[in-house]
Amino acid sequence: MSYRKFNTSWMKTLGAAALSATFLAAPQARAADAETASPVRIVVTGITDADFIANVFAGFLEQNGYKVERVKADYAAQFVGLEAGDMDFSTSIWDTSRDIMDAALATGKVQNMGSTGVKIREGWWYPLYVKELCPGLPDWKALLEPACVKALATVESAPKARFVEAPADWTTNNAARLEALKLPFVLEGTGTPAALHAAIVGAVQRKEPVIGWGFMPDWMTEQYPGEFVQFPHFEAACATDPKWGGNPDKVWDCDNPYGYVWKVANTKSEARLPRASRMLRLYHLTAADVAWGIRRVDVDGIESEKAAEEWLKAHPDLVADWAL
Amino acid sequence: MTAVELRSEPESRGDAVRGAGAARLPALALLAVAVLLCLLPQFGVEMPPALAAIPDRFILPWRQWAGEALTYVAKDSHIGPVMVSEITRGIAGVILQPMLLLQGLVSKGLTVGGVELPPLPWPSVMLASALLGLRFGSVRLALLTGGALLYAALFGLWDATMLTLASVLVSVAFGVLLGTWLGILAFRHPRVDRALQPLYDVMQTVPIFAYLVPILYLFGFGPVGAMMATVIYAMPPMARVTTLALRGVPASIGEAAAMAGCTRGQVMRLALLPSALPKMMIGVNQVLMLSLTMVIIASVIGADGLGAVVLKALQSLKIGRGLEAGLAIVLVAIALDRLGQAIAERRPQHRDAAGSRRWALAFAVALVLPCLLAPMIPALANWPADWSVSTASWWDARIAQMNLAFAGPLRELKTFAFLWLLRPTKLFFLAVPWIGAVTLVAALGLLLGGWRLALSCGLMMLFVAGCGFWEPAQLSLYLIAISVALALLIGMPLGLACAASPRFNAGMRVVLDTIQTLPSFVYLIPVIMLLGSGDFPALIAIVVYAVTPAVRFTADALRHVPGEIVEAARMSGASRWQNFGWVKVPLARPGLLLAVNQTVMMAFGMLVITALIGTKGLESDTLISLSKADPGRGIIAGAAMAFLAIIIDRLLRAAAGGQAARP
Repeated sequence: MSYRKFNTSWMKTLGAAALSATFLAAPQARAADAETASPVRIVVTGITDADFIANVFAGFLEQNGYKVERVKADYAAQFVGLEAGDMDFSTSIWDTSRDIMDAALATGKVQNMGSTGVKIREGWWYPLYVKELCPGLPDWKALLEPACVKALATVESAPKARFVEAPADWTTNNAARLEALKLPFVLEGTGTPAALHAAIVGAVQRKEPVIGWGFMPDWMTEQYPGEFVQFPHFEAACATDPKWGGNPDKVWDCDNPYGYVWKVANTKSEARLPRASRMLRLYHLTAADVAWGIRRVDVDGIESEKAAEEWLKAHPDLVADWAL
Repeated sequence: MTAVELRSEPESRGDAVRGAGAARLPALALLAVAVLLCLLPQFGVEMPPALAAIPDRFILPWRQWAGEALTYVAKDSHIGPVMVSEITRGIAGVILQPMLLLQGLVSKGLTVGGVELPPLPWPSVMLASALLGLRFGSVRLALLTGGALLYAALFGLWDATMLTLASVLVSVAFGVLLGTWLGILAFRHPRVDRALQPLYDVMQTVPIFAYLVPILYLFGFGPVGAMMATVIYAMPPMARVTTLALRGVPASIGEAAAMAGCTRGQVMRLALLPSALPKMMIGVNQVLMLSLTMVIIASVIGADGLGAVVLKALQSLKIGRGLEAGLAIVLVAIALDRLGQAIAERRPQHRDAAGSRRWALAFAVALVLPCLLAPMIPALANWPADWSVSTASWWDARIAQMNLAFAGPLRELKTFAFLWLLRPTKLFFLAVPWIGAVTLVAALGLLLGGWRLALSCGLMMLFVAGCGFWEPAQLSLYLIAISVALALLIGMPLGLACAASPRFNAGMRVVLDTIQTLPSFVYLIPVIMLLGSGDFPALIAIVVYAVTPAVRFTADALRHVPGEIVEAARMSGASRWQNFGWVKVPLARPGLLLAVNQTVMMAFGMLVITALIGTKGLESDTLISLSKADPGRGIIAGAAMAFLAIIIDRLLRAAAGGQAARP
């Protein structure tokens, strides 16, 4: 924040005051007034897709006269802040981190504010050139071929192939999947999204065979041409009933479920921010919107807040619906 | 971890060695049994499963207990009708005020009496810090302090740097005050000292993830929570050094002050502390350096600043940007450190009053003039965007080139290291049965210190074996063992060179400060791009970081060998090598063992980072516990790590002589 910003925000306050004086009769405007006195605290995690979703909503609130504080937080640590009331809203909770989300909801201090409408796809991802080494992809059975396994092996994993696994705190079900589908793979740990991306992208830049955990929306799957392996489609029974699917003795002989990015809020925030909470419930984007944002930020190199502003300006009709 | 002098009281040494002498034979016998037990699996002897790993039914539900205790403390504990978390949050609110004031002053602007004031414009801060350098040091120091900030502005990192500067200054002030107070307390009451020592070990070795949840609950998300986490990690060296420095002050100084009629507090404040101050400065240095190594972790829990810039850049592999911000951290660290040293080393000078008035005037002009001009000249208020430069894309291109050119040869090195070093060591460690490990630790304790040391170390090892995390513990130990060996192999010769040549030492100091404060992710992410994740990059991370104390303490130990003894040996005809091998090394032995000790501690401290690049030991359990909402898992895995570190520390200290008398 700086001098220039101080000026504009000051003018904004003046403008808001003038506006509310004009529409003094309108009860909604007065309600918003009481609400906008204290800042709305929204989580940003530093991950491109999540930050774009957060910044679009933050920018939208700012258009509506709110002060927004973007609180930097680690993905897992944010739940503590949401429970304790140090943060009001978080707009990027992945279906695939169910454990921590459910634990937070169970405390009664965090509530689900609905889906963002952004669909998640995640699973075994490979750059397109791997298809030449493993003919038959994207069907998962291609991964059982000895030539394919050999091509994907590293010194640590040999004689099996290497799979660049997601950070250990993500729910991938890969250990169970390896057993159930008898895939000759070793899971190589990464600890953070940064390390996961580095391990895969480093190999892709060298055009080396690699396969690992990919997800959408994400800048990597956006920037590099690749595909997801197709496993047998997920059904609820696959995760619980060993008899389901190709392997009668094991669970998870199937893909991960698809899901959504969710919005959550501190329970007490709704009383303080009723209108903003309603806006959060109505707020939705599509995977394509987020993909656009990711490209703007990671390929064109502009700031996430700026990209969000552009998007808001380009979609006034969609945006108006959230304020109804 | 701490690179602090823990040189111990020499008087207890002789007793300890004599005391151990009596128990020598049984201890050696026990050691032989222990080594045999550890090696049996290597010869293909099957251990009974109950002796190899403690069976599940004997493992107490530590994890559950710890989880429940932690949840209670964080969420439900009361003192009378008042929630503990309300009290701690009240404290946090008080601590927040100086932080907000400083942040407002340099970065966010302040609201005084309803009037919003802009933050200090960049020329004010830059000129004032350069003047500070000039006042307390030299033109060179002024160039360093001013230049560090110029770098920040030039690379478009001004706001982030100011936020980091503000939070680091408050953290360091808090850490130094708390450390000094605890140090004085420990100096006055040896019993308090004995209670605090293991606590400090825990604070420095347990990864932050293990106690992040209670910290966030008790102190809130944001700058204060981040500061608490920073202080926990960075304060212990200050307390330790303060106690040692006070012990080093000649008793006559305190007595003279007391006779002159000083109260107990005055003796401390006016006589003892000023005499101990020069030695205490190494503590201040360490608090500063360790606080800055924490900025990445702090950014994870709501502290904005350079750490957040580094992290965000690396999330999408913008390595160049990460490097720019990382170097800003290094520059801030070095500038603050040198400035602090210059202030502490300055002898009181009797300058004329006119001189100091001139300085005050100069400061006032530097601070105020840009403030007055800023409203008219916008370039003074905000560093104009088109004055900024960036080398980020250049770095990114270099990294991409390196990736194509060096991946091949580097992979051969990695293959070699994996086949001949990592895999055999890992298999060896995984095969060690718990009974062997516990016996070994107890035998070493008996041999080096006596039965009390044997009992305490043996019990701690038993906990590690029986807490349900035996295999992760072995994985952590294997990584620590290899990295420490490599760090010593690299660091000790460098330390030797530092002791021999002051010029080499001066250069090395900059290198070491850089290594200590440059966020390791900045160089680890390129390594992972080239070689994949896992144990190899983890090894590099630990070795790079743990080399620092190996160099510093080796140099320090050799430098303190009395010159006249070396001279006497030379005159009686010892060759250079004889002098080194038979005189210097034996005399420096306690100091060299301290180097080993600190290298081990530093290696343990680095495990928190290796968890983030995919190692699977105890450190990984502390990280996973966070996202699985399973706090007990993190606490117990963290406790096991702390115990391992404490066992190694106590055994090494006993080997160095001195601390053996301690329980």
